[in-house]
Amino acid sequence: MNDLRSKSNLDFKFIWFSMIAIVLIVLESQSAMLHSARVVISIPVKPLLEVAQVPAHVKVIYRNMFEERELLRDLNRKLDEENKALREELIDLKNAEDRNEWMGELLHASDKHKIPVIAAVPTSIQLEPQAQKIVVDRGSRDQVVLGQPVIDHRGVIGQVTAVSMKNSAVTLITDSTQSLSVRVRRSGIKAVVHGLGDSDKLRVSGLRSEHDVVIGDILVTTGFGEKYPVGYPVAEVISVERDKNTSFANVAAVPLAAHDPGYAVMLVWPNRDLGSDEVPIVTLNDAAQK
Amino acid sequence: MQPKSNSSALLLSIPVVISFAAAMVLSVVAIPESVSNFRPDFVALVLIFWCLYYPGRVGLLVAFAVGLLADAMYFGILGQHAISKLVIAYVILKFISDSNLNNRVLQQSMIVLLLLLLNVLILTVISRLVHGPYGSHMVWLTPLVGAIMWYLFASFRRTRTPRRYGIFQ
Repeated sequence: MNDLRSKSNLDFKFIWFSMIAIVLIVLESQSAMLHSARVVISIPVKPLLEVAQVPAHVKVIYRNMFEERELLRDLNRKLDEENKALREELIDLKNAEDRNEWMGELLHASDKHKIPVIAAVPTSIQLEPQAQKIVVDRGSRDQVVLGQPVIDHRGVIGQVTAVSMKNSAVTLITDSTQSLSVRVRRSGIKAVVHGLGDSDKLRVSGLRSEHDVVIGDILVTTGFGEKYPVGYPVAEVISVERDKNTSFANVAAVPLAAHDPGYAVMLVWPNRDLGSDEVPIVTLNDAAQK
Repeated sequence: MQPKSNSSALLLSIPVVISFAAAMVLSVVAIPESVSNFRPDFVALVLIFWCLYYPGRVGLLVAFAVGLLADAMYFGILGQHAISKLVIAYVILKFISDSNLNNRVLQQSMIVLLLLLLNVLILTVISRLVHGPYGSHMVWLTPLVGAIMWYLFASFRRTRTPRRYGIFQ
């Protein structure tokens, strides 16, 4: 009797909990409503994420054992961030050239130098291998928001897809859920880049066989949809196959940015106006001066 | 059955908490990419262990909560692991009685294999519904790795505690 009651209680509980889980999944897939719930749920998990990074830290410490490690590492990090910021300015300069050529784009690319950024270091956390995702050491307390673009000195890395208090997950452009609108820097033709779930390959769609695209062309962001800043390098074309029958060109590309654990990446707030909004952390110019 | 006092219940739950925490750390710690493709779902393995050996200690609430924490840990879809872990716990507690399994390591490993496959099936279906076609097929091999680990673990456990688990009976 008692056993019977506990069994039916089990069914009852099972149904209730599954309904909660299904509601969560539906909400999660339809909206950003659970964003703050995630921040709360991930609080107890934070120490575990720290523990999981210990082996990687130990490895680094072991490697630096015979050097004056504190000193060198700090210097190295400082120089690295400086270098990155400077290179990003270089990208901006290159873009200025581009903008001269493409007067039409000029209207959308206003005050590019005032885009606020923050440096973040990728952690050694390894999420499911089939997902092209990294975890960085900035979260909601650093005002990281969902959908925020992430770049490095070479180009676009991806966008923030989940945020907790002190960390956030960045889904790389190579993930199969990602696609972004680009144009060929040299000829200005627009196309779309799709991730394939493969860390060094991207598919480029929307190009016809008569379009001017060759191996080695650099694809840059268009800023369409205002998710990514305008004119950042995304990928380099590695193969172009022109199919006579379909009139479409099969184009493949490699991502230009590569995340290396320990090297800083930049989180960007492309839509935030420096003057009006809460607290932008640093601008590209500030970062260069540091 | 005597009602347990609060403090002893707390004491009993310490190994549960530690084992789940360790499983979560193991599932995100950086290992070489060639190996990480085969990494089994350690959280599911630990859950199966508790549900199979100590069904009173871990129930559906714990399974659900652990799954939700795992979702937060992996920055995945909230509810995805929660529901897969819930189903595993439910299947074990409802349909699998551990008493006749304790001594048959191979049979137990087969059940673990099926449960882990069910786990992967649920996770895959949910990510497909949310993201569309997704990920590599490698993930279907991880239950096999998990079952082999279980086999080794259970054999070892049996040799360590022969009397309690009835090897001489």
